[in-house]
Amino acid sequence: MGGKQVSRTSEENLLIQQQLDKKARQKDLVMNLIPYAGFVFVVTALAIATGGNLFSTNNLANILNQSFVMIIVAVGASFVYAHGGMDFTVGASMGLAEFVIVTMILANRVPLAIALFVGVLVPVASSVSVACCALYLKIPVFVGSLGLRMVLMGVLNMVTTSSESGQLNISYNDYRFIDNVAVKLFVLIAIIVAGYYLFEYTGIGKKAKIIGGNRTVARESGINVSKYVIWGYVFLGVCVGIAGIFSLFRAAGVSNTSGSGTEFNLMTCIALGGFPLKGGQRSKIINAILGAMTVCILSNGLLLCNLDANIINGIKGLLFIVIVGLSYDRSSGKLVS
Amino acid sequence: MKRQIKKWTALLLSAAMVFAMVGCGSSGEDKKEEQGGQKEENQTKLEDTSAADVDETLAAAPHFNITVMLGNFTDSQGVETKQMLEYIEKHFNVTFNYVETSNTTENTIAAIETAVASDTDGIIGACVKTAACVEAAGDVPMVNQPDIGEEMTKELAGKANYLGSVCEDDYAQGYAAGAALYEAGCRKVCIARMTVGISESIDNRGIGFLDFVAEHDDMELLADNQSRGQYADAVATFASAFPEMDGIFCVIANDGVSQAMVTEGLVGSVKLATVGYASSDKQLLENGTLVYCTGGKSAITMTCFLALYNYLLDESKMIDDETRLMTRNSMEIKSVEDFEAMEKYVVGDVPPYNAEEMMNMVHYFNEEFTAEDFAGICDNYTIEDLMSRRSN
Repeated sequence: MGGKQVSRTSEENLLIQQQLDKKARQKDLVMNLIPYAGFVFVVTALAIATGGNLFSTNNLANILNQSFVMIIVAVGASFVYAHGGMDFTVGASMGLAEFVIVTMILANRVPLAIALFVGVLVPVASSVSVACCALYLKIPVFVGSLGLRMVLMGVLNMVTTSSESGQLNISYNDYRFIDNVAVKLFVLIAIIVAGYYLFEYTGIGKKAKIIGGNRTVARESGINVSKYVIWGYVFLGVCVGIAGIFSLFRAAGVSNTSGSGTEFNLMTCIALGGFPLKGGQRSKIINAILGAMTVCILSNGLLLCNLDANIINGIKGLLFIVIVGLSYDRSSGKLVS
Repeated sequence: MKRQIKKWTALLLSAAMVFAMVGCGSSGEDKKEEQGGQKEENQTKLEDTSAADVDETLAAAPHFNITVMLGNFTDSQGVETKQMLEYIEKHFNVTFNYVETSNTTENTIAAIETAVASDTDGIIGACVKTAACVEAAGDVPMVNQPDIGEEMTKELAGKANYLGSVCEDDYAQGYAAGAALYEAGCRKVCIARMTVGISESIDNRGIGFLDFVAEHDDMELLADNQSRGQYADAVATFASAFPEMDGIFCVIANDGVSQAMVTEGLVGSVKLATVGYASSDKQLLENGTLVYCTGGKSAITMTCFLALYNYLLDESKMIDDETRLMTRNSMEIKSVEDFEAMEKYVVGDVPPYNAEEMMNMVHYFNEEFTAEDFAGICDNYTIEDLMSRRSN
C-alpha cells in the first residue's frame, strides 16, 4: 500500500512540479517582458500624442544626443548593480572629469588625448574609492557613496566657482567633430558591444552576477569578491568618464551643475528597465539600456507634447511606479539591498 | 485576486496616462478655442470700446508658438511669470510652451533641441551659459533672460538667430540693498546667498552687496553663508552666532526668511534687505524691519517676449546692440505704499504692461515704435511709472 502511495505521489509530485515550473517560466517571461512592453507603450503613446513628430529625423538625432550619456553610464552601472552595489558619485565625478579636461584644454599645454585620458581617470578614482569604502572600511555602499558624493560636489563647487562667472567655457566650434551624431553613434555601439561581451562572456560580468546572487556562496566558491567588485566600479568609472567627455563638448563648458542629478536618473533608468537593483543572475545589460532609452524618450516626448512641467513629472512618476511595481520580483526580497 | 487588483491598477494608471497624452495632443487647440471663446465674450461685453479693438487687432496677427524656459515655474517668480504669460496668451495670438531647465546647461540644450523639433517659432531662453545652447536652436530666433554674463553676450552676438539678452542690474540691486542697510544704521551685517556659480544674476547681487560693504570701513561683514536655498536656516544661524549683528542681506526673498526674522526675535534689532519680495513682507515693512526689497522681476520675461514678438512679426530688432546685456530697471520697494501698489499692479490680474500698452510696443502694430523707445521703456520701469500709468 505504501509503495502504491509512493508511486502515485511521485507522479502527482512530478505533475505538480511541472505545473510549478510552467508557472515559474510564465512568470519569468511576463517579468522579462514588462519593461519591453513599457518601452513599446511609451513609444507608441508618445508617437500618437506627438502626431509622429517623435520619429522625425531631427528628433531622432535629438533622442540620440539626449540619451547618449545615460545609456553609456547605464552600461557601466550594470556591472556595479549586478553585484548589488551602487554609486551615487557618478554625477559629481562626471562634473569633475569635465572640469579637469576643460582646465587642461584651456591651459593649452597638453595634447587633447592626454587631457581626455586624465579626465576619464577622475571618475575611475571616484568609483574605486566607493568600492574601497565598502570593501575595506565596511561602510554600507549607500552611505559611503552618498558621503563621497558630497565631498566631490563640494570640490566641484569650489573649483568651478574660482572663476568669476562660475563657468569655464571652451569653443563649441573647435570641438564640433566630437559632438557629432556619427561619432556618438560609433562610440555608443562600441561601448554597448564591449559592455555586452564583458558582461555576458567574461568573469567581470559573470562573477558580478554570482556575487549579486549570494555574496557568501560566491566567496565560498573561491571567487575573489573584492577583485570583481573593484573591476565593476572601474568599468563604471570609465563609462562615466567617456560620458563626461561627450557631455562636456555638447555643452561646451562646465559649471558646478554639470553632471548633477545623473546618479538619480541612473537609478530611475536601472529600475525602469527591469534591472534588479539587488543584482544577481536576472541582471541583463539590455535592461539597463532599455531603461535609459525609456526615460530619455519619455522626457523628450512629453516635452514635444507641450505639456505642463508638473504634469510631465507626474506622468514620469506614475509610469515609474507602474513598471517597477509590475516587474519587481518581490519573492527575491528587498528592492535595494 | 492580488493579480486582478494589480492588473486593474495598472490598467487604470495606464488609461490615466493615455488620457493625459490625448489631452496634451489637443491642449493647444482647446486653449485656442477657449481663448477664442473668451475673446468673443470680451468683445461682446466691450463692444465699441478700445479694449475690444485691441483684442481684435491682436487676434488678426499671425499665430506663433513660443517656448519659454525658466529654472522652475513653481517658486514665486516662476508662478508670477506664468501668470503674466497667460495674460499675454489670452490677448495675443500666441501659444506658450513652458519648460523647466533646473538651471543646468544639459537640460537647457535638451529642451532647446526638443523645442526646435516641435516646430517652435521662437525661444525665450534661460540658463544659457554656453554658446552651445544658442547653436542648438539652429535658425529659431532666441532671446535670453538672466544667467548670462557680458562675456557670453559678446560671444553670442555673432549668431544670426540670437536677438539679445534682457536682465535687471542685479549688481546694482545688491549694492542698493547694502546702501539701504547702511542708511538704516546697520554696521555689522551678514549675507545669505545662493551657492556661487549656479546663477550669474543671483551671484551679482551678492557681489554688489559685498562691494558696498568693502567700500565702507565702518561696516563689517560678520558672515557669508552660501547654500542652495536654505536662507531661513542661515538667518537662524546668524541670530544665534552673532548677537551683535544688526543687518542681513538675503539675495532672494522668501517667506521662510521673513518668518525666521520673527521667530528668531530679530524684529526691532536687526534690519533686513532682500531682492524680490515675499507675501509676508508687508508686515516687516510696516514695523521697519525690511528696509529694501524689489518687485516685478518676472516682467523680464514679458520684455523678452516683446523683443521676440517684434522680430517674429516683421523682423524688427528691439535690442539694437546685441553685444550688450539689455538692462531693465528694477522696481525698488521701500514703503508699505510701494508694496501695496506692487501687489495691486504687478501681481494683479493685469501685468505691469496691459495688452494695449504691449501692442504699442510692437512695431508691426505701431510703426513709430523703435528700439530706442523700447530701451526707454525698460529704463522707466519703476513703481512710480507703473502707478502713474494705472492712475491714468
